[in-house]
Amino acid sequence: MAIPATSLSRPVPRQPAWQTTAIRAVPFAVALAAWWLATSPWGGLPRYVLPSPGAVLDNALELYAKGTLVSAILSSIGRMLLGFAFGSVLGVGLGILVGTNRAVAAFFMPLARFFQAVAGVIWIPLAVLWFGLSWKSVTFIIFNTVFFLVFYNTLMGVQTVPRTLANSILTLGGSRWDVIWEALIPGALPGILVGLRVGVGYGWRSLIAAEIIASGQGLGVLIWEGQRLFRIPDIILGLFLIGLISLTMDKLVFAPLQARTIERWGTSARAPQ
Amino acid sequence: MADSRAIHRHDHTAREAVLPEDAAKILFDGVTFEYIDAQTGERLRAIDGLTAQIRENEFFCILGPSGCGKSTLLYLVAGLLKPTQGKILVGGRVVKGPGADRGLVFQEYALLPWRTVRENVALGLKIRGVSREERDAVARRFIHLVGLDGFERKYPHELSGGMRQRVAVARTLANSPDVMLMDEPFAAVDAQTRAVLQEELTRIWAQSRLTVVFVTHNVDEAIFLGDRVLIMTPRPARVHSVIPIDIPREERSWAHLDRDPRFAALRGRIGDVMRNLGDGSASNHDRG
Amino acid sequence: MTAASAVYYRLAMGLAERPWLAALFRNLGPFVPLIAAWQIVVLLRIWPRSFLPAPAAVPQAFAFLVTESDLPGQVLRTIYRVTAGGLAGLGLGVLLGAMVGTSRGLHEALRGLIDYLQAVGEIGWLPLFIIWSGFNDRTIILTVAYTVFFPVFFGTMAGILAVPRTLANSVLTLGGGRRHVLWEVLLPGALPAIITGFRVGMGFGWRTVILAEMLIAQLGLGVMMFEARSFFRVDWILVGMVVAGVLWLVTDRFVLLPLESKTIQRWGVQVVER
Ligand SMILES: Nc1ncnc2c1ncn2[C@@H]1O[C@H](COP(=O)(O)OP(=O)(O)OP(=O)(O)O)[C@@H](O)[C@H]1O
Ligand SMILES: [Mg+2]
Repeated sequence: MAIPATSLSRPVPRQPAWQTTAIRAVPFAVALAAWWLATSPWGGLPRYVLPSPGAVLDNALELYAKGTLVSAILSSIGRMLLGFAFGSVLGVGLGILVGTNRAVAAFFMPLARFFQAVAGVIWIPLAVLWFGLSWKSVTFIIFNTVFFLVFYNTLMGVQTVPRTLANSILTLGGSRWDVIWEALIPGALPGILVGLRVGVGYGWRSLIAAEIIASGQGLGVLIWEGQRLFRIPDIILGLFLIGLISLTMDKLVFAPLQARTIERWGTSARAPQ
Repeated sequence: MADSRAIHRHDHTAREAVLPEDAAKILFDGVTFEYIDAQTGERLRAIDGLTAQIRENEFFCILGPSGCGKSTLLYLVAGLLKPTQGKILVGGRVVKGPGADRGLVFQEYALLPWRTVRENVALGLKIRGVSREERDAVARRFIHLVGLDGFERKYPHELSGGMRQRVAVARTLANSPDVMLMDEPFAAVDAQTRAVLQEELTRIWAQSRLTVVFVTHNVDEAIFLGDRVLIMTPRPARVHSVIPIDIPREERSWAHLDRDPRFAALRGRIGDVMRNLGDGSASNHDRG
Repeated sequence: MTAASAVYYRLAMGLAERPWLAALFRNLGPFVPLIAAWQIVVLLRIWPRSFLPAPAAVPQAFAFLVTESDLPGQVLRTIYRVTAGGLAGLGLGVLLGAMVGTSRGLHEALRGLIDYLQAVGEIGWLPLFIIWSGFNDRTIILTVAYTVFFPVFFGTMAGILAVPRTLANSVLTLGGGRRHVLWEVLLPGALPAIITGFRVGMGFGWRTVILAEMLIAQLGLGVMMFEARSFFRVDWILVGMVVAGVLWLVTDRFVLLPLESKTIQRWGVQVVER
């Protein structure tokens, strides 16, 4: 039985993609214009509160020419990839193990609950003492953040795979491994992908935080030194890049990945943890 | 405008068709409705130039094959959808949007999951700002009417499908509309309860000025309840025929109808029409 | 073997009569081997004591910090900041989520900006917040609110979009207006998703407050942990981590989780999700 549409949201033909992009660009354009106006002679906002877009751009070009900008970006991304790789591999593996083995779950879950509660940036002071002010501390913090997000979402994904799916593979003569490969991993994929996607988002944020405290290089350092030395153009540039890189990772890697698997299979993900 | 298109293909409806406009409680004037697919922009014509009139205080049944546009028609009268072409007048005024004067009992009940049975039944009164004591009293009366005493504090998900349908009926009645639009309201009720509710509904209707538009799949139900029965064509829906049910109200009780030759004749005739329209789901033998 | 299993059986039977004891055993049991391993590592003197103190040093440090450096007061300050920021984020998240969830135009226009602001994150903004607002509680609360806002916003929006349309229609046919649709249908329908969003948001907000304290405050749990680092007091840091973890677990298990499951169970989530 079909449910007619409502008067609340009347069916409207979908507009082309460029139009959506154009509409979404409007608030950015407005913000940019407001910024420009506020910092222009008419707006009169002083430079020590907010420098003009032009000043920020000049500063960006200068940093780029010196090479510090590129090296900051590359070192941030490098640590991110390292921490994320460790965290996600371990998270998926342990998530599947805990999701399929009662004994492991009974032992591991109470520990996971506690360590998840303090996962991420809360470890920074200890990491700094243990690993020093270096890339190791930063990578450890990212790993710690990503691991729990991926682990919990994988676990939830495994737990929501219907038992009949596993049973059907067993009755077809499949082994435990077949069950894991054919039913559990594809069935848990929506959860895994949500975990990876959330893991990248929050991992990236804890990277910035860890860099502020624990390292001499990276975008986190750029913005924090900007604060200490009162170089607002540095901060704004860093802020812009932090958002841009995070959004690029999300929209260019994970959104298409999700679209290609889950949405095509018609299985959808639960809310992120 | 007494539209000549209201004269239908079957001549037995001709004497029904032409009414002075002010006598019609609901007037469909060349109503066309198209759904527009949100993804592709494709248009799907659900209703195609439908013209018909429903009198004040009439019990008007609508029969039609599944997916032909019955729910859509009720949504149009309720004002939840707007005709693509043509217009609908209720009480002489063009329908512009939804309002409390036209209550709708939804095919899928549409009870609020976060409200108890009593709160759901009293919802319309609450919206109108009626005091709590008064709306509790009204709600209790209508809950009793549909036989759900003792379930006032339950939440919808704790009820069976049939019970939910009854709550939906009580909710609409409690709001005292002029026109009651009912979309297969007894589809999920067991045969016995259904017979009780049908008789109860006719009793309420007979005591009031209520105009009822009643959509059903069930030929027997349409004959038992209706003053007239409109049969719709498959999508895009048009009026196939309008058949008056000339069995006096006093003689309509399930106990007698089964043996009534007029009933058998109507059932045979409408059943034939429905079969020719190609709707296997129309039943003329069971009531449940 | 048989003796061991008999002992285990007796233990299990004893526990079965006292469910709370069983729960304690289940939840704390796994920490025993962990702490034992930690003790062994300490005894083996692989690392110096200052690098990894013995487990027993943690309760000692806790006692010291409570009596000598007003740990409860610091924790209360942290709780105040995270509560204030969380509530601000909740309010703003619900408000904007409801606006964007009910208006197609706003959704189209703002979705890109909000995605971007989420991607920047609270830490990206922190230096600017400091310059604009100073080294004070207001800056910390603002940072926490920024963290909590996004999960609440997306929860509210998705919750509203998932409410079946017929429910809104039913209120309209009963004579209700948009206001009634919002209050009777959309917000109650989105409530479980809002609470879930708030729960997730507070989980991250709790981390944000500690981080922000490390960076800019003079008092608070985060400050205590961060200063311990400069005195090379790993035991103090561990106390901070345990306190942070336990406080969050207690809040989550005994306040937020029950709230979440209560609305979901009472209304029947299957109805809400359809
Ligand atoms: N929201 C919608 N968008 C697009 N098409 C729709 C929508 N709602 C209904 N339709 C289509 O319009 C036609 C009529 O639907 P409607 O629900 O009015 O049928 P119906 O007669 O009530 O069917 P049933 O007896 O099964 O309840 C159907 O073909 C259906 O697929
Ligand atoms: Mg229908």
